Amino acid sequence: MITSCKTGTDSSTPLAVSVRLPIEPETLNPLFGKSSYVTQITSLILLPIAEYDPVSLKLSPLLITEMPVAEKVTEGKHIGGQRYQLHFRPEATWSDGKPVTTDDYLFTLKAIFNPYVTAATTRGFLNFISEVETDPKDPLHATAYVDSSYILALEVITNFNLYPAHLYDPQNFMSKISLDALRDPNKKWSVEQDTLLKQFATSFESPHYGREMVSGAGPYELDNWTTGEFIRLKKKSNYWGDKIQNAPLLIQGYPTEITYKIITDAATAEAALKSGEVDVMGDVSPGTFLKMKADSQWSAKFQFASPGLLQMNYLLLNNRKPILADKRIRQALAYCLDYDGIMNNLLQGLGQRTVGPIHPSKPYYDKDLKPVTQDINKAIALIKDAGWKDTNGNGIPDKIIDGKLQELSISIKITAQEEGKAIANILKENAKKAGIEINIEVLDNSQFNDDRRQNNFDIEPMRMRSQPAFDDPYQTWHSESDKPGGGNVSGFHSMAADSVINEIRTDASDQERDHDYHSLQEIIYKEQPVIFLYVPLERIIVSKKFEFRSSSRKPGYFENLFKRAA
Amino acid sequence: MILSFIRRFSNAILLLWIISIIAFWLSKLTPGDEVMDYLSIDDPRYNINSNPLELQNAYLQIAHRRGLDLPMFYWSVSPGYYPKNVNLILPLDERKSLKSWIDQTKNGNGSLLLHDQLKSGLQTYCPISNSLAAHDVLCQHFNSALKTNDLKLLQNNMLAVKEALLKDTIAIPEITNQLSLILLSCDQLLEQGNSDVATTWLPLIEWNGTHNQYHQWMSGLLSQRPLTSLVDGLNAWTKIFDALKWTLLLNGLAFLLAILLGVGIGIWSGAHDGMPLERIINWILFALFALPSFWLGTLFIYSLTSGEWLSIFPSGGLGSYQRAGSVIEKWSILFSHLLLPVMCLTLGALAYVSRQMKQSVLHQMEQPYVKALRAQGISERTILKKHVIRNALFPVITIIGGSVPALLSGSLIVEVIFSIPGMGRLMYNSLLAHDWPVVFPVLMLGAAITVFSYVLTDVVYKWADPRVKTV
Amino acid sequence: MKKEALSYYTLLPGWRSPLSLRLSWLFILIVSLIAILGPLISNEKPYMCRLEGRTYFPLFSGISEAELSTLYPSFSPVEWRSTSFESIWRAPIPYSHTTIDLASGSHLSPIASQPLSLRFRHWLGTDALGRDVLAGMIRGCRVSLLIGFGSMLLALLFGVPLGSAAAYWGNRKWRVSWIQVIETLIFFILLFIIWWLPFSVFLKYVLLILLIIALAMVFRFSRTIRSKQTGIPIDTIVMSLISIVDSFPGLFIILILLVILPVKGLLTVMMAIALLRWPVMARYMRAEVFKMKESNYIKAAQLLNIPDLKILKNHLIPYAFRPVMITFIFGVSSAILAESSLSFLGIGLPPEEMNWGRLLSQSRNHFDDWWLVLFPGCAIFFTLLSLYTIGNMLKKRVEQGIPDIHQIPLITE
Repeated sequence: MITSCKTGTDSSTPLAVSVRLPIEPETLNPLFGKSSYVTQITSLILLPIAEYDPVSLKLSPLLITEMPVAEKVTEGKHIGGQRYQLHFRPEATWSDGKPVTTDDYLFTLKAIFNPYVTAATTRGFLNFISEVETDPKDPLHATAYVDSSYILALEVITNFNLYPAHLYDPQNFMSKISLDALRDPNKKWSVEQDTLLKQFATSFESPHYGREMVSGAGPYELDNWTTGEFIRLKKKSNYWGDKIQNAPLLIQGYPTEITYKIITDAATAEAALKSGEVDVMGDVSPGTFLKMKADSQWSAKFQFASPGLLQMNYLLLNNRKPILADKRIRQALAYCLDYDGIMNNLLQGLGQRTVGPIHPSKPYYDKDLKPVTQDINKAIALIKDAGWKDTNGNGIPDKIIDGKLQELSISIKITAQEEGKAIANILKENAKKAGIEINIEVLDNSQFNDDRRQNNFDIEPMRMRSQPAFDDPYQTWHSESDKPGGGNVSGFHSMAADSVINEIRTDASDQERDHDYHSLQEIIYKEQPVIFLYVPLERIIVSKKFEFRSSSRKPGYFENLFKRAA
Repeated sequence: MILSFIRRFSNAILLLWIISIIAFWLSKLTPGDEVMDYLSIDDPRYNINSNPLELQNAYLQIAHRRGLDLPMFYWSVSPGYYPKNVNLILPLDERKSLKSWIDQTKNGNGSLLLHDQLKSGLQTYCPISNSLAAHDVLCQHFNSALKTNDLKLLQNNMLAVKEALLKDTIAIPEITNQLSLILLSCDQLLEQGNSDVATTWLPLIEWNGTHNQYHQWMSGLLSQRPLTSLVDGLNAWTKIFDALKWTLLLNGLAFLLAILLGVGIGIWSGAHDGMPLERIINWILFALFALPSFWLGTLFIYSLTSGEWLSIFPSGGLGSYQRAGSVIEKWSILFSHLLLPVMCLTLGALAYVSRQMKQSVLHQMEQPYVKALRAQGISERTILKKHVIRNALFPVITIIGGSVPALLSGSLIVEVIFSIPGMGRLMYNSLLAHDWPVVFPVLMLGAAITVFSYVLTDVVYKWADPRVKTV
Repeated sequence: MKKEALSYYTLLPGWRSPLSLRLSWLFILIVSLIAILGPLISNEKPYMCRLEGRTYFPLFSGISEAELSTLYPSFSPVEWRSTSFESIWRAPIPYSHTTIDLASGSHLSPIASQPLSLRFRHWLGTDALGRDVLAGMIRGCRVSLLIGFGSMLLALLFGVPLGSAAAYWGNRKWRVSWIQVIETLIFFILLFIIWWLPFSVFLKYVLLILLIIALAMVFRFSRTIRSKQTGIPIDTIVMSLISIVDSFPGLFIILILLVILPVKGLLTVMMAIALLRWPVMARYMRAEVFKMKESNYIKAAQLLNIPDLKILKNHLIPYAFRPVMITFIFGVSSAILAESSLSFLGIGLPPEEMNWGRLLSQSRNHFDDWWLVLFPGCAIFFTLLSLYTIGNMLKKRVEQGIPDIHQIPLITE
């Protein structure tokens, strides 16, 4: 048994896994997909050169032999920057047997930096790479340069999906243009080059590369995608990863066939799981999860996993609004909420509290701070302290702000999702006890997003996904990020926080960094720019036919690692 | 006769044209910015270096691809103080703020000047090659200014920027000059307002020609250019016909079953009105009618497919019919998957059809001709079979005619519950995603079917019963 | 027995009515009564409470827990349920439909033991948010009936005049002079210009009123001028309107309205359902009036030079109305069902609102919670059944009670 597990990928015995997918992905080109399900599927087809290992949660090499180490550059045009040597795996091949080389790495960057490809946001992320030098003698060796030191530099260089140049660009358009030229914003293109770039962008974004020709260095390839019904992947024959000793988990692939069944309705998905038509289901509702787990009929057939997710649910407050600009009102709101009720009923205990933006599983999470608990008295005192009093006798406290009488009335904007509705309802009822009036507005997704972009909201329930890497708080908490399109949507401004964040980004030693992370958490805890609700546990149900590993990375399970149960 | 048909037909075409305008207009009324929706990714990692200029270029690119940079309609009407082509300015939020400046001051050209000045500031300070920190800050300020609706606030912000710059020892004269110019136009706007009052009195009507969004939509509909979904880039008609076949199969079967069963039960209960068994059936049918179809569907799924109680049906989807070896196997897989949804749809409609039929039978039974037949000593059975049923079927024909439009997208809830990729779901999902290139043809297809089926019924009625007057 | 006069009262049960009709009326009456008195029956606020010698009437005066907390810091936080008042007089069901009782728990079964005293027991259990199902049911009476009757009344308001006008005047009968047509066109153009002009809202309204007065005067004046006349194709216009509404899928109309309309809530849902339903009403009305306007009775009225509007109001609509009433009653039940389907899709009513359909749709994801199915399901079923029985009985009476319209003697006023 043990030996059979080790060799694992015995393709003579087919092993088919079927997974429930609640939303159909729009494309399988990971650059243009929006939902997390796109990443879930494409991560089996396309591989980055390094990825966070599902178990150790460390960035570990996939298409390179080892993780590059930062070297200081002392001469040349990147002086003061850092250099990373990338050595590609000689065994790695694309589906047609051609080796994965540094040319493909360069091609992927060029494809992303093609100005006509609509990947502006990804470009912003990859902008930290200043230059990539390929080795003319060795097609498996490249050097990447980064000008400024940045905590996520390694991630930027290694963590994006590699496209095979000869399959995605059969006419070799992009080889005629250099990466430097593409990255130069003042570059004037000749007519010929311009058409080349446009032609490539059009074909790269076409449904052909999104739904038919999806190919990469990963263990699986797209077999059949029937719109509205299912997406089927099949294991590549003669896959290079099978021949590698001690291969990293993410390049292994045991099932011969993985089918994603598109079942939008949760009740139907539950029935499909119970009847065995679906083997794996993630994101089960807490009630169903616990009920099935307690029922011997189902616990005999299924295994249940609830790994902690790298995700935080919080109430986004708009600190720019006159009412919420007052720290005391934000704190009062935080004291109103019945957290125990939410944890015990909404999550049925499948979650934990958090004090701030750092996930509780991170080593630098501040354990000394205690999560806020419900205390209506404190809330009432804070509101009174902030100068709110009911002067016009309508039952809601009011105050004169900027010469106008303002009622203590705040609106919460939500979409049609059940979770948001529940939170909004609870907030409304709880805040009422302290005298705060909450109005619930249900918007359609597009308007919801539009209002957030234009800072036209008071409160919105949101979720924040965090990465296994170090957190870069600059995006969400630095005052410089409070700009149109910036990540600081709450409009939180604090000089103290800004300076701490700047230090975190450049801190060299773990100790300093931990210290700074702690002080940041303390500042945010005191200011309550947003209200942190909870960190949910993922709820995964898997048929006992399989052996599987759970992970705190979304989606919490890895289809390629499913094995037949002993 | 032929003339009246031609008139009705041309009326129908006119009606369809009006419907297309209404659909287009409704689509433009929906709030939100589809391009920003397309561009934004929720992953905070990717917001790191969001450069306003680059984002704007991407925005314009997509807006151009979707034809959003064209005027809306053949002509446009705006207040006289609006400068030309304000409605072509993109991104949308900049257009919105420009319009609000114009509305505040009634000075179109002045506002446009301010907009252009800010825009040129963006062009100067935002390119990435400018690594000067001061430039980066300026770039952000210009970008926010372009999106500020309140002119007063804008002025204050720019003033603050200028003062901050002047405090800096290395203030660059070019920048301060530019800022002064901007502040000057702000002042002029706020103080003077519009000097040329006469132009405000008349609405400005512009002719845009055929190069407009509506024309593009319509020519897409008439397949002069491919209509592609904004979500997945597939051809809209392919998507529609893929979905249509399942919906027609599902609804067709349910419809047939409901009519057959409903007519049968209706006739039986009409003949046995008041009997205990008839009452019981009446009650059961009524209960089925009273239960919403979403609940009935869930009951089926829960009790008949999950194994919670029984597991005799496959739960949802269409199964692996594609892998079937033979045609018979394929259809047997499909039918086993379609049985529950069809039942779910049928049971809801059954009560209605059978009730109508029963009423109709009862009505006929009271007619003088039935009394006459009875008086002749003809048995009830024969009366029912030979005379009553035929006459009583008329309302059912009306029902059939009336439910043709519902065949297209009337089964959304059942499609959602049983995971069938039909028209209802396509329509619903596309609508939620604001995928108008798919929604629009679906709407127009439905409208065409409805309008022409009305014309057809009219014509058929007239042909069948010459007494129907030409109205 | 005196021959029953043609009156709207034929709908009410008489002494000889069958039991089913009386029961139906009783049920509808009770539901309506609960709908009206709902907030008095189930409310978290007490009728009366006494604190430190002062008496408050929270349910009527609207004083809130928060206010009492600030007034009596020693009692803070004041909670209706747990604070020890000197005396308190609560509503029979001490929960509102919005009250969230997470402390006792969500998904409480009506028959399970609850950690509450008998006074606070959730008699019909709680839902996923710990809201009392009985309170929700009581609220549901109001919301469901409002949606059912409200939307159909709105539909009636549009459908009856439009449908009867279409049938009565047809395409040729309503004749106006060309001058009047041109005047109306000019009126609309002016209206459009006023709308565009940068005037204050007040000025716009003043101008609008002036314009309407001007139009009325010009109309009166131009009547004296002889000119060629033309028929207004009312029937074609109404039928085109009906076709346009019918051409859009119902779901599309509802979704778009819910997105576009700035005010969201009960009224929006009612309006959306009404918009879908008025064509049915108009069609029925048109058919009925069409049938009757050819009768000698109406022709005689026309010969007597009774104004058209009077004929419509006094002689056509009352007769045609009762068959339409049946459609109305069936429409009410289908509107209640339609709203529950919207609840299933997660759109429609604001999230804090509660009704039968919403309770039922909650049960979908918690199928073991039978109390979320049984009670709202029964409520919907019996309401529909009652309405159906009443409708049927009405239909019978209309068919039996009214002699053939052609034989009715001429009624003079």
